[in-house]
Amino acid sequence: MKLSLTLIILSFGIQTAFCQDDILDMSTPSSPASKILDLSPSTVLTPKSYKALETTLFSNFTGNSGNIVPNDFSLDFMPYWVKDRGLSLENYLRAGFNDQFFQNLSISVASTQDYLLGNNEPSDAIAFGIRSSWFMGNEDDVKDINSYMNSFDQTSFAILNITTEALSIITNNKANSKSEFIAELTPRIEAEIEKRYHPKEAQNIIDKIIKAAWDKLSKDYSSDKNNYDTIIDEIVQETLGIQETYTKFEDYIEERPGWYLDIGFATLINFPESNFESLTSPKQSLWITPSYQFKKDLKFLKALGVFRYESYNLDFYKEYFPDSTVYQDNRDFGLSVSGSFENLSIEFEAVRRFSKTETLDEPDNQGNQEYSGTKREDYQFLGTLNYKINENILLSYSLGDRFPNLLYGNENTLISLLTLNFGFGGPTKNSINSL
Amino acid sequence: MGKTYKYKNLEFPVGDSEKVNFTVEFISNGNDAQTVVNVPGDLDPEIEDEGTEFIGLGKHLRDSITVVGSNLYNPLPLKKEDTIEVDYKINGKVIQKHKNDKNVEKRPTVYLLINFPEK
Repeated sequence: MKLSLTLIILSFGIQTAFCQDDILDMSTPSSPASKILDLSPSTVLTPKSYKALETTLFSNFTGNSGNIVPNDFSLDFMPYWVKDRGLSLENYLRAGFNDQFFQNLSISVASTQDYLLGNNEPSDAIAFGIRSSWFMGNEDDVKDINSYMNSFDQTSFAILNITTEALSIITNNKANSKSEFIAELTPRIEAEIEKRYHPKEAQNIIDKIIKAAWDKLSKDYSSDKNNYDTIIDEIVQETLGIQETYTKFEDYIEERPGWYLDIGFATLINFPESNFESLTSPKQSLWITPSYQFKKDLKFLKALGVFRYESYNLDFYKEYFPDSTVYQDNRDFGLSVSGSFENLSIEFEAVRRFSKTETLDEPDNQGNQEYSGTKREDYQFLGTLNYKINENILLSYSLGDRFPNLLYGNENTLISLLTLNFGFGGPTKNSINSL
Repeated sequence: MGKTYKYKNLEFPVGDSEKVNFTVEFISNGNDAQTVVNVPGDLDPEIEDEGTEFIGLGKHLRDSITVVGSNLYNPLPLKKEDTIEVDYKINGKVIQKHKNDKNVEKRPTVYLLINFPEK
């Protein structure tokens, strides 16, 4: 307890001393619109139909206050999933390039009435974003998916053949006692298990199911027979271990080994004078992040690359952020590697930023047009070490050097952050950003 | 173990010599399914995901209640699909629609207990 308190205090002290902002998120944001607004909304609305989308937009973008830009608003809409297409899981997992684009396409909208200008005055701002992603299939993945699907089919058909037979015995009054019920069901159990399992393990499985049936079914068949099918279902599912297969499969599809590509784009629209005439688009961002999830013995490793392009409207920033230095074009190139080893995870990332602005000068004596440019290069690197003390407590330390925040003139770039997290999840880039 | 949905007392009148086909049709997206139709005899028709299987002539199905069992599974993220919806059909006509919220169960088992009285 004493140690915990010390760490919390230490964490708070360091966070206060090295207040951070603008740490680059390596991955393409889940909501590009919220990201470009630097908005961390309390709720993200995810309408599942065009009608729900219409209702959401109508109820949020109209109001009695006269302000049509809602505050703290974030919406994420995936048009492909609006329609019931009867798409099977197998076809979803084997979707081609074009299908994946539409299946993973999301459109995001975010807005705030509190977008701070250079003089700290709040203004209305709205952002629109688009994002999609791809998983690049590979032969091993096809084999693994086939293996899981085949396992579902074999196990599930075995369970259903036994349980429907059990239900049929009960419903059609083919037994009058527990022993008659088990005797009637046994040939089906034997047939199904022998058909689908190796002879070496089949007899063991059959014995286990029948023994469990004798142990768990109540003696009083006439009054308890309506529970018999449920108990048989539980026994067979547990003996065949179908739940473990589903859990392994879900873990697998969450991080399928292979190449991924995420792309996102967002544009920001600001109303600095709180009227439509002042509408301007100060900033656009594009994210392209390829990543690779290693397989088999190296599946604890993931590598991620990033290309981010940001374009700033200099006229806007000169007028509303007169004291800041903003570059017109900013290109970030980076690489991140992360690894998880039981209770320990390590992540290291490095990003290089190239910024430049080209301005049009007065023509020379011969009328030739001339440009002058300013350039800047920055680096960011960050190492993070997480240690899971137990299921609910995570100790995390980050050390590195971030980009300077040119917009708000913050040249303090050191990151040294120790956190002790209680509850679910560990520190994220967002939690660091919000400090 | 997933939640079980049991639909009892379903009826589908058929003629003695009428061929009976059973169909599973996905309505919502991202489903995986295995379905078994327990008919008289040792060989029960099985349907992997969607499809149609011949389950017998009307006169052979009349003497007992036919039990259909269907394991459904939908691991898609909720933001993509939040519902499991499947139609069960006999000779092209819906005998039972099943629909459940994935927040309630993403791996339900559905049982249909069907009578085939004379037409």
